[in-house]
Amino acid sequence: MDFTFSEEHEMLRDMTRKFVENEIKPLARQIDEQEQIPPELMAKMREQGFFGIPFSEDYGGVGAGETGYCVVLEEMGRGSASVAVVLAAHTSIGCMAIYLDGTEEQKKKYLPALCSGEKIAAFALTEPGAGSDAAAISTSAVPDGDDYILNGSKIYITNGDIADVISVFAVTDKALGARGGVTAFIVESDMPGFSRGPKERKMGIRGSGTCELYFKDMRVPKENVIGKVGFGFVTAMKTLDVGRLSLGGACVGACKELIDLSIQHASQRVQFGEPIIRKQAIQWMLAEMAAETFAVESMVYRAAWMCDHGLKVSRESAIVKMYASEALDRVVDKAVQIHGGIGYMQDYPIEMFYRDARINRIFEGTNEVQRMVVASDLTRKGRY
Amino acid sequence: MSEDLSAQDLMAAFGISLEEEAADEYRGVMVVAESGDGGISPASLGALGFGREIADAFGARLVALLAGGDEVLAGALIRRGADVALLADAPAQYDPTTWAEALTSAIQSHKPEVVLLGGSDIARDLAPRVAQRLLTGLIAGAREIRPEADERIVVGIVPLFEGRLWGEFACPEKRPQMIYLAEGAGRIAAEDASRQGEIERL
Amino acid sequence: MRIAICIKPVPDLSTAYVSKSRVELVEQGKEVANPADENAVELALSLRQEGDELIAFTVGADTAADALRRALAMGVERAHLVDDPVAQGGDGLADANVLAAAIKHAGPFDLVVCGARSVVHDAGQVAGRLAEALGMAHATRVTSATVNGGKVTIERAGSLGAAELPLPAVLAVEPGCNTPRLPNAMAVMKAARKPLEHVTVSDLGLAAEEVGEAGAAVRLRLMQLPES
Repeated sequence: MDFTFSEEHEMLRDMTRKFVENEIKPLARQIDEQEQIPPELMAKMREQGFFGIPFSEDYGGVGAGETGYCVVLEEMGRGSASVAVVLAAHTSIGCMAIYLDGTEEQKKKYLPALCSGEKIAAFALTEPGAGSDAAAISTSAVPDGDDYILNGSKIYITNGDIADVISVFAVTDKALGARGGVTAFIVESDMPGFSRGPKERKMGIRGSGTCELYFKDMRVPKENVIGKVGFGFVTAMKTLDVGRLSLGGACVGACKELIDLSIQHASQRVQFGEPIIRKQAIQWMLAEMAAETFAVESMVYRAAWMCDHGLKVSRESAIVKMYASEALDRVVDKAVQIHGGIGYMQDYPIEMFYRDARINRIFEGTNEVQRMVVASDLTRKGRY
Repeated sequence: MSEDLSAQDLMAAFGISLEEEAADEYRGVMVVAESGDGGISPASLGALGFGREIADAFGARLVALLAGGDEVLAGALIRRGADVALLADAPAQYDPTTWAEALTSAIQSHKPEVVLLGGSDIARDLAPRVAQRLLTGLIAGAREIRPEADERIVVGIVPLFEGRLWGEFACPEKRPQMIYLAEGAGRIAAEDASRQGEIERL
Repeated sequence: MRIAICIKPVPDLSTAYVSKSRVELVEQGKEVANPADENAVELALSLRQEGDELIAFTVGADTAADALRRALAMGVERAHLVDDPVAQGGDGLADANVLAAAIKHAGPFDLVVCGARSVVHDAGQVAGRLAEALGMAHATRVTSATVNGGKVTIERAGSLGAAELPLPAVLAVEPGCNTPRLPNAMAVMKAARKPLEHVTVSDLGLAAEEVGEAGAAVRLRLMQLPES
């Protein structure tokens, strides 16, 4: 087994790390306070090619695959969870539905502008009455001539405030429900009938925009159906399978950064006559943080490898999402404790990492849903 | 009487011994002196102080090479420890081409075993070019030197990896052993007005 | 113009540490390009005009390939790596012999650029040596340059000031004098996949005594911990 990263991955990592150090870290606090990524930073990210990392060069992507993408997200996760989430929602779920199940025409029409970052993508499945119970969505899509008419709303959509191209899941046959009654559509934000709600004010990842989307008698051409009519749920699940993995990547980055910051702090903070890093209590916390990080890093890149080699990763990505998010919460909690009082103060990034981490157990499918996915896989197979 | 005379026999007939020449080929210490503001530069004086230590350790002569014909400066060099002030016909203000020629020519005529330059931008510019011309070794950026008399080599102590380690370098075989100092390195000897020396022209 | 850029692979000092017991630098991770050499690449790229060709040269083991690829990612066209084991372990003299031969082998060039000093020695000698070996003018501690006709006008850090040199010339670039451009993801991928040209000592027509450890005039005898 070859556990080394390729030359491409190492160089991508190095470039992203430098970018994060120079361009993102200095702005992380401002992004949190102003609840926005400055347009100049978005422009620089476009120039760096960050918006199309995993996608094939045939569609204007960078061609780095899922592994290269996780490497980039890991490095982003060291600097700003808000930036990582904006990028991830765009790439892993926003573009991914089109990439996995779109027709050649759809891919050629939409992906190049999305990969260049000229247009931003979002994934709209969740509704007020349908969170974990995604099958309970009620946004309707009624055929009318060459189009479908969409009516309904979506809630808590990441990038909802800035997205130009949105994968929207709507009910085309109420009687069939999730099994054959849901269809995925490519919606463009300039379609008449499309509107957005105000941005939510959140506990964390405040630099990423989250809002409601409203569709009122919105006409969507039939060519914009992703995959097959009625198979939208399959598309959604396929997309989320891959999307969850990259969330793990960002968690790895945050874990590593938190350990580094904690070591630095503990090496300088003198109490009871010596730096607290000499105290066993602190050392054990650091050791546990390292163990969690190694575990999460190993599973993320193993699952990414599986994905890049065409293997099915439904269960693995559910495990990664579930484990990485819970591990990060444990790591960030210890990081706050090691920092003591200063870990609670906004002068220091630790409290931002703490607030930013919490959402990972909730979005992209709650960890309860992930447990359902893993359990159903185990019971279906009858063994590990 | 039909033996052919060997090259050595022929040379011996003219009083030239090849072996002796090889052994004694390089002897003495040369320091390149820079001038400015009406005096010898502190970096050069620092190198001169080091040069004197090496010359004393080796029991050899110390020659200070100075561009330009200033005999007053030549006197200053002698008072600071040079046995010979060698004046080169080159502008006192640094000129890469003529200075390189002057230093090369001085080395070829005087055959010093050690050539030392102070820690200056001129040294950085000049020494590598001349070292390559002579296909000899150059220890760059020594903060300290240590003559090893029995081997007739000078060990240069050079800070490495942004000063995290110091390396001891030497040029055991090729001659001359060229060294330029780190900025601020060297030891300026006190002026000794009683010192005598020669002024030569290159 | 054809511009040659010399890249020296050095330990990554941001992750390396000194082992006090072994009195040596312990590297963690791969070698990187000497920072001043990246400033040199940036200077060369800033001088580049339509049709110019930039080639990077490195003497080093295959671990040095990464350092070379950074230059490729920044926009250099080709990279020549002398990874012949015979050429390793040289000093200023031996390395200059190899680099000069590699440059001549791929020549002729209008400009040769390199870093003025490395994080290893902090005192450079390669520029002057190369200039002598290639029969070119040279200047060190260069902070900026413009090319006009057959001349290059330079600014320098330190006491020597501005100057004008005839081409061809060797310029040793002062560390930190510019901001090396960060390649984007597309450039990175392209550079990572680009084949390097591997050069041997016999390709260059050099004798074993001129290169590597055998060709070194200066030897490292001992490492010591700095006195505080």
